[in-house]
Amino acid sequence: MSLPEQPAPDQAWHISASSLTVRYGRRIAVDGLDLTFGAGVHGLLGPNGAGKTTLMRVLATASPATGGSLRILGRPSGDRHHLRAVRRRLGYLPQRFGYYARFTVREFVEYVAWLKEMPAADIPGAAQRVIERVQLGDRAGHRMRTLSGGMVQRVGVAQALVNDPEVLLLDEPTVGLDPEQRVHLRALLRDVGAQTCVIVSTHLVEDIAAACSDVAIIDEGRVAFRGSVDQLAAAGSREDSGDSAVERGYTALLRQHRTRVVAAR
Amino acid sequence: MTAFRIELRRSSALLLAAATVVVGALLLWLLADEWTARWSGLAYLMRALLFALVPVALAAGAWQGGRDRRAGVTELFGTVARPYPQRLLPVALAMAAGVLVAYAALLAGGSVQVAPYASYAGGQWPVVVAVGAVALVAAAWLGMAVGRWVPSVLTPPTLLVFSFLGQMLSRLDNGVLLPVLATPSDLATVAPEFLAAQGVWFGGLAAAALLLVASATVWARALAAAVALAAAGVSSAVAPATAFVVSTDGATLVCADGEPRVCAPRIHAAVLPALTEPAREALRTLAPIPNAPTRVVATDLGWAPVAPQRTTDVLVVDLRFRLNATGRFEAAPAGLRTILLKGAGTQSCPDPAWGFERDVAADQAATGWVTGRPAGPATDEYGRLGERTLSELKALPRPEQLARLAAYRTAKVRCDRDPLTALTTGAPR
Repeated sequence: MSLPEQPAPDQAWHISASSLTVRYGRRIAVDGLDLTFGAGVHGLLGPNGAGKTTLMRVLATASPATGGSLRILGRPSGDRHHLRAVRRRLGYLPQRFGYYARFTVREFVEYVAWLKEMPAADIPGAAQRVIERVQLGDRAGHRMRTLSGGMVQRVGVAQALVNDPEVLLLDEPTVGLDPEQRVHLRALLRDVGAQTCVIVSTHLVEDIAAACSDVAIIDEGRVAFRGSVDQLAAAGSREDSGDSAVERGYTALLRQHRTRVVAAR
Repeated sequence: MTAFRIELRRSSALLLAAATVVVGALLLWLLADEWTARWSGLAYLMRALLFALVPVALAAGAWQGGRDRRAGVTELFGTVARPYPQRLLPVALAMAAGVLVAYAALLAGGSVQVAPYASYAGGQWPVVVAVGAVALVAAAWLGMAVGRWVPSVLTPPTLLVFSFLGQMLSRLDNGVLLPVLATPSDLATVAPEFLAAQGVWFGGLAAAALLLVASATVWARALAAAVALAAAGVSSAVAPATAFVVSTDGATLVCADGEPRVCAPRIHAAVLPALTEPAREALRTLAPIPNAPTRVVATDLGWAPVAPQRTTDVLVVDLRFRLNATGRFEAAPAGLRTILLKGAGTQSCPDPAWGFERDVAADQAATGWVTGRPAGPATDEYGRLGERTLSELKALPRPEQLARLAAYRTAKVRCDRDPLTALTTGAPR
């Protein structure tokens, strides 16, 4: 049932994509991306509609790529034979996190753990741990419908973490969180990222600066920049718009990328 | 187990169970006269309840089936390891458990009104109820499949109304594909082949519905449709034309000790202790009439296959509408004597050839003769006609009176000529 212990050929990278393309009809949402991700917290930054969510969905095996190749945990993503084993090792918080309102927090997290085919004996303990990790220990017995937006979002993070995933995909995880909760989530992500490949999609530049070891900027389905947060901060100058060095770097890199794209045409 | 335990509490299973118990208990209470004191009566009423319970199960299932789309979890749950059919199994089982426990609770509640009084435990009533339980599970799962396709808040009420109307418009006389099974008589039992055919149909429908709920591909749906069609085809082909046959066990006459004989069907043997003495007294009262009855048989005159042969030898007591919740006669001994002596121990025989009024008037006169009481209320036309007939009859010499009554009894039993004329002219024997 589980994957063999010896590493698959591309095990060095948790995720490796080359010429990855996703089309919806005539529209190209992801346009020939070459990206690799290993352990650590990786930020996926870009304007709205840049293709971030499409990329996250493909990485989460929610929808298929239409071109190029993608290996997740060493396995080709189109490989149905290994899909189930790969999915056991994924954690995913979609942009629109749906949940059963009648379930309690604990029931929902345990239910997702069951869906991820965790051994039944491990489920109660694992659920309790992640619920405490997102600071909802005192709400574990409350119905989901009674929670505030920020609490629901934290349950979303908890369900993604419950199976100790090797790849953790969080699409806009800080939406609805108050400043204190955001600070806590960033710390949690840094902690998880020590052994896990965490990919955080966001349009909030300050999240990236605080939580991520490196950044990919996506624009119109292409990689506009890939590098460390320090490189991102250093890319901007006083003339670029933004309230922080990272924001100025982001606008500068985006502008340079667009200039290159226009020139290439 | 994790998921089943959660789904039992959080799915619509509890709602379905509660609605089933409430609706079912209300109907059991409202229809108490129809079933108490007999296991088969309770069993067929449990099947009659499906008229309301199947729509409830469909609606609850549809609400449950729409949960994933309403909650917006398809994106997240589309990326988990566990395959879709496995994910659906716990909730489908929880819904089945909910409806089965509720149905069993109704049966248990009903048995409180049966167990202390039933004189006869035979028959296949547990199978009758079991087939109904399978039909309920099939309805809940079918509702889930529909709710999954059409996850609108309007789906459950629409299913509720249309399944209700559908049953009303369908042939109500016990079609093999219908959940409701209505017995024509206490003395009838459903043909075993008919019950088996229904088992095949509802079992097949439940399997098809479960397949449909868990289906992820067009092929799975086609397979589900094929299973349902095959079950319907097989069951329609093997089902006998008439659903009900005479219950050889339940309809067998059992008689009280001693002579003259007073007998009742085994299923109604509980009436005998109270019936025997008034019945023998009635036979003694009628004895002077030349063709007086010599024994009493209680039966259900509402169903032709069990109607006793019409003969002057037998005084027939119709049990319909005369029993109380304990399976005994509602009437006190005095009232029972009145029932037995009515029409000098005959059943009514209205016929367009002579009319309802003349039958009633003759009845009242004959009743008056044997009981020694006035023929009937003199306030209406029949009453006055009956009273006049009675006084004319009493004016005759006693042997002629008895001969007239014998002619009347013969006419009533044969039901071939006007009983009032027989009573007033005494013509042919």
